[in-house]
Amino acid sequence: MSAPLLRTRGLTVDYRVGRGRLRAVDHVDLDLHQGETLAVIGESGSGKSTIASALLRLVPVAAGSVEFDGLDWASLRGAALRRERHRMQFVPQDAGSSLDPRWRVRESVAEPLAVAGTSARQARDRAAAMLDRVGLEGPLQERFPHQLSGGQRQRVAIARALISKPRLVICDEAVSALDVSLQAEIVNLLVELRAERDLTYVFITHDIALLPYVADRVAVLYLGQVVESGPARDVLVDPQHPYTQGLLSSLPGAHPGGGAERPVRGEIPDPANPPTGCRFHPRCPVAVDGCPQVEPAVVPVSPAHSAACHLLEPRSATADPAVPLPSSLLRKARS
Amino acid sequence: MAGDDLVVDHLSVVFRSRTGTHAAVRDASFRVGAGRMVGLVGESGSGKTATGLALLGLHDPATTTIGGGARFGDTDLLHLSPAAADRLRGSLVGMIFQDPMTALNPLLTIGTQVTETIRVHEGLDRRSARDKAIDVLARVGMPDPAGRYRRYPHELSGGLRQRAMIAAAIACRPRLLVADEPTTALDLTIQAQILRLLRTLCDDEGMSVLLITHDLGAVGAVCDDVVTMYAGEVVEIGPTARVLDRPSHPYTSRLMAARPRVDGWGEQLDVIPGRVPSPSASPEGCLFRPRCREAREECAGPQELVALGPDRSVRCVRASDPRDSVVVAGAGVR
Repeated sequence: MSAPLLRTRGLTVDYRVGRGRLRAVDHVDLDLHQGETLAVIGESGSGKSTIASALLRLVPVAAGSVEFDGLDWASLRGAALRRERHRMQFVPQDAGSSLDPRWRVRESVAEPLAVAGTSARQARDRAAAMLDRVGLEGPLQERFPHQLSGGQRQRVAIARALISKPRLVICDEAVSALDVSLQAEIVNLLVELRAERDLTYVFITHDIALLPYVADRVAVLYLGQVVESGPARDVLVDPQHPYTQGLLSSLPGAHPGGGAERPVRGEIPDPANPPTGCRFHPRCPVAVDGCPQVEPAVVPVSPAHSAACHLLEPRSATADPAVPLPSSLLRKARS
Repeated sequence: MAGDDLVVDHLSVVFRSRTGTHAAVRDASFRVGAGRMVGLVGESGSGKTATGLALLGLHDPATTTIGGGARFGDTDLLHLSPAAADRLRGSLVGMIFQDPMTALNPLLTIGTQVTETIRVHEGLDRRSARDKAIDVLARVGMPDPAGRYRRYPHELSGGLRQRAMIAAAIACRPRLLVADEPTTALDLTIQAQILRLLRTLCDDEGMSVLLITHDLGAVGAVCDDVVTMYAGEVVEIGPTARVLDRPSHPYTSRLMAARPRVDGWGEQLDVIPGRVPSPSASPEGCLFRPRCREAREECAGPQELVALGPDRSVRCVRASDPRDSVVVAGAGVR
């Protein structure tokens, strides 16, 4: 297989909080091939949007590497970064607050071309054609953002992202604020455009039910760490991590009986003060002795599918021998 | 206790503006049985929220005309003096909204806001009101209720803010709770927790809940009955399990089909073409007709809400037509 379009190794992002430091993204490894969609899922506070900001080079990368489209992406600076930025574009959750309220939407879509030096006339024509393609036609293109519905504004945001012919598009909760029917329209549009323009997506969402329609691969994020990753179908059909299992159980209608089987309890802890050991242990329904002490290693379940949970681990290589190994305890409990 | 039902009877809500009149709700009739949880579903513009606000007397009388009736037990909810409406809100009828950040006062602590309801309605002194507020916070599953009592809304997560708003709404044990998209802005994990909390309040305290939502999945998870609205009209009513198993109105079935499913591999999401018509338009016949795959000539005529059985009705010529035996009442019973 050819080299991935995007590869991160140990991607880490820190925010300064008062005198301390908050590690929002903690050693994240992602691989994404041309033409694929990687879904990043998790709750608010899991670091999903920080990953987007880091990939888009909007927040500093504290550690780790990002290779993108043959470039050492995390080290690009200044003019070089500005020259290459068009390769990676962004579709936000709420286009209403990301579009300039005083500009007609066609002008907003044309702006990236104007910045890149395209003539005003050409930029205008291409913006009009792009808006036609995303289903916003004729007089609607001359409107201001507040004169459009949420679904129409989302189309504008997609047109603006695609106008500079990116290789990779990051969609951050791009359909989360929409009604079911509109959500379906925008998801279908994104999928069509991907095939038509050979695009690659990072699709950030908290709605795991969207995965079958968009995702090839998925990374499940919890408090800044990837707890499970693999082909989307493998992860959804046979989730290995208790957090992934809990996310699936939290889906309304996930169980024919109506009630959720083992939904995630409680709330995500403060990322400034993450729990010790396995970060999920305070909410985990199957946590055993040792989970609060020892951080689990990433265990391959199949060549492409892996998860970080002690219950999957035959032996914890890094464990302090004084701390009982959780998996051995579990075996004891079973016997 | 039949007296505890909410009965909405030919309710209409018409907004007046300089550009004319806009009927947000037309001739809506449905019932929320005592201690039952009913889902009111539809897309944006279907009239769900306007219905909920009318039940609480929260529309501005200067710009809104409310017609028809709505009673809870013996109480007429629509024709109340402002003072009487104030007395009922909180004690008989409570409401929670989608965004607790805008519904809660950012300048007051959670405790003050829950206590306020209790002091206004029950005339308790400060100390007993405080103790009661902490009890209520514990009842809605607020971790460390005494500590959270002193916190401000911005210091809580979205899920905990929603719990605080529910606490303020149920502090005086209202018998009906109107919940307008209470989980839409929340993570799925927290959505599931809040829905279960509402269901528990319903079961344990006999409170009736009208859950306004665009998500049929949420309705399926917790509601006893479902009422589908489209363009201001009620188009289908029935027990949740049967309606979701076999919808009688094409709009309900299209809403179902548009939902993403965790097992939808290799499929495309089903889109409902077109848009909800503007409330200023007053088309004849079935309002869903322009978007309906199954529309035929009779759909252009007037449509009535037809009873398909004791607890099921639908506004669609197709459903009451014997030729369409698929959708005959009761056919969907598992």
